[in-house]
Amino acid sequence: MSDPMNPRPVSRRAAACAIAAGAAGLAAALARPHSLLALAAPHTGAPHTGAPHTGAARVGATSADLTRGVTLRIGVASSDGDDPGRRSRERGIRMGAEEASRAAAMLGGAIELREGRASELLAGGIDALVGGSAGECASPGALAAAAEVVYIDTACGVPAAGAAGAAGARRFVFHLAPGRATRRLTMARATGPGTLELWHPALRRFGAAQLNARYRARFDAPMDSPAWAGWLAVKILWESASRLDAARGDTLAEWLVSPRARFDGHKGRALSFDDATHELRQPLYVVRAATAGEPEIEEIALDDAADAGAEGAS
Amino acid sequence: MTIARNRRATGLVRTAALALALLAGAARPGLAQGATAGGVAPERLVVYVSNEGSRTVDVVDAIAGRVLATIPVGERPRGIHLSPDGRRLFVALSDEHPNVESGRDAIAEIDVRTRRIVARHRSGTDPEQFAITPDGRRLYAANEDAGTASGVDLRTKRVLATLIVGIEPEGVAVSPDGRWVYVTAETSNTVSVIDTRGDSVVANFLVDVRPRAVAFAPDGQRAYVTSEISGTLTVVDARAHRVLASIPLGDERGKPVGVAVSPDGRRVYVANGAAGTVSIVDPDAEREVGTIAVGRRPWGLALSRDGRWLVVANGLSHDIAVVDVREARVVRRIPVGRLPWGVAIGR
Repeated sequence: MSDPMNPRPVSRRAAACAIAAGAAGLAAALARPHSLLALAAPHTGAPHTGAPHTGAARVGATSADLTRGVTLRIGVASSDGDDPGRRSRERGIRMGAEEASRAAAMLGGAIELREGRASELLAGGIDALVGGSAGECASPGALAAAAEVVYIDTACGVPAAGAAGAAGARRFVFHLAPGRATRRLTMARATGPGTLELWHPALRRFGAAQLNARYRARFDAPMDSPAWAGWLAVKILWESASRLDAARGDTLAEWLVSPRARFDGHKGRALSFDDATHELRQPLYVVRAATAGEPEIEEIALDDAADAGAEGAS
Repeated sequence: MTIARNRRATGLVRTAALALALLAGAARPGLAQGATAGGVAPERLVVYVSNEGSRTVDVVDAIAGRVLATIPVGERPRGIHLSPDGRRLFVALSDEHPNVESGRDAIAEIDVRTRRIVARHRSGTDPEQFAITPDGRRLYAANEDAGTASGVDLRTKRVLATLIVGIEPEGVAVSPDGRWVYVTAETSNTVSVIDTRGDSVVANFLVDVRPRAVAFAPDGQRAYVTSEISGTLTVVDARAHRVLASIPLGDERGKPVGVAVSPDGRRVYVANGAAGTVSIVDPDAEREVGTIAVGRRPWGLALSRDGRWLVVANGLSHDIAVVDVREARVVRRIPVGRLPWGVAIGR
């Protein structure tokens, strides 16, 4: 049984983080605290760990990766730097991978996480790379782009104009955190000073309460911005794999900026990547500490004049 | 500050809605008198409304336009359905702790005649949506945080099975022949298919982003799934458990949630949440053929058995809208409790 206070890092053991489909996935899930798989097992029979077993019951028109039994290989770039968000990011990635594995298994596919240095992971063959150490913004993206592998940056954001990254490199690099321009515009919209966040553990609407509760139950810690970004990076990759025949390279890079690529990050609206900058378009939060009780969280979405989300609920 | 402003606004809306209702009543004798215009209007249109905010169920006479009774249920009520014989009302109740099953998480069974809770069925944590089999013997509920669905024997109150479905299961529907239960899951974008003979998950298939509610066509050939983030209605071949089409629903702001199918199967109605509308979909043509403005944040909806009236819970207007389906317009809005979530229409 893993210790929720001190979970194992995302697969230190090279290429062997087998939170994948089948027996390994089931075992990993069973090892999770609060897992109800054991409860359900007597009733479910086989279907959950493999492809649907009724002949006619395959997914309709799709022949996407995950429905063809393909394993999606995600590399997680390790860092040596002193990175305050690292632990949260790794936890978020881990939870994202566990959930992705479960969802992929339902469709017949699998997810595999590999952790290591970006160069080694790319040499070993992966479908996509996730990273986000604040100290190493440029190099994983450049390496991934050179190998024509999509890189999801969870922390750095779009580099300033003129900074590293030719147009060719940018084609494969996608940013979940806002760049300097978005930060500035967002804070200009805010009604007062505060900390700009991608996520907050006190968010409740649009299924945020459920996501925060799952993370807290899994790690006994609040889900903060790096954790959310790590979780979303993996979710975006497996959702893409569930829609694409080949969720890698050019196909994946083109898909991520296509009108069909809309993702749910529990923010109450479809999230998508900006075609030009590859920055995720999303509501952000300006957080101010309150003297008592929960902090004040101001939601700001730059692309949204009418604030369509204002009327949503649970 | 915001709350105070909203309350004032709500008061105005209510007053306006009442005035409109009175006007509508005067101008629309068909509904006001319960007359059988065209021979299809029911003598009575009794609607049960779960009010998430006030923790009550309202019993509404939609013909007279008034609340007949308010049943306190103690906890937050959401999913609401009548038994097939119309004598029992089932309401999903959850407390404030979604991850812990407490004695208060239950599906309450209310005797429609006495308007009292006569039983509480345990159905796992945080029950929200559920469905009752056509024979009235079993109930299937989604347990959102546990990622499971539970089947309950309504007579013995025993949990028959707890099955793993997708992540954050939400919508539940039983096919008209009672054979299949579809359970949507918001985070995995999946529908799990439970075979009620033997209670096992026999298939899973992928739909659009953040699926919410699901409804079967009356002939059982098709099922329809709303997807909140995609803004679409997915058409499913309910024999093969296979996606046939995905229909975009107009308004960009729309967040499709509740869904209902007309008795002849030729129209599907979808509540669009933030857009404040209901979409009318022609499933054979695979397109939206109209929208009706109904109120703020329409969520749950239901059709009368004859298909003439569509009743919609407007969460943020704190009322229900009664839509004349033939004219595709709201004929009356009736104030109910706070944050109405779902509706069930009496037999």
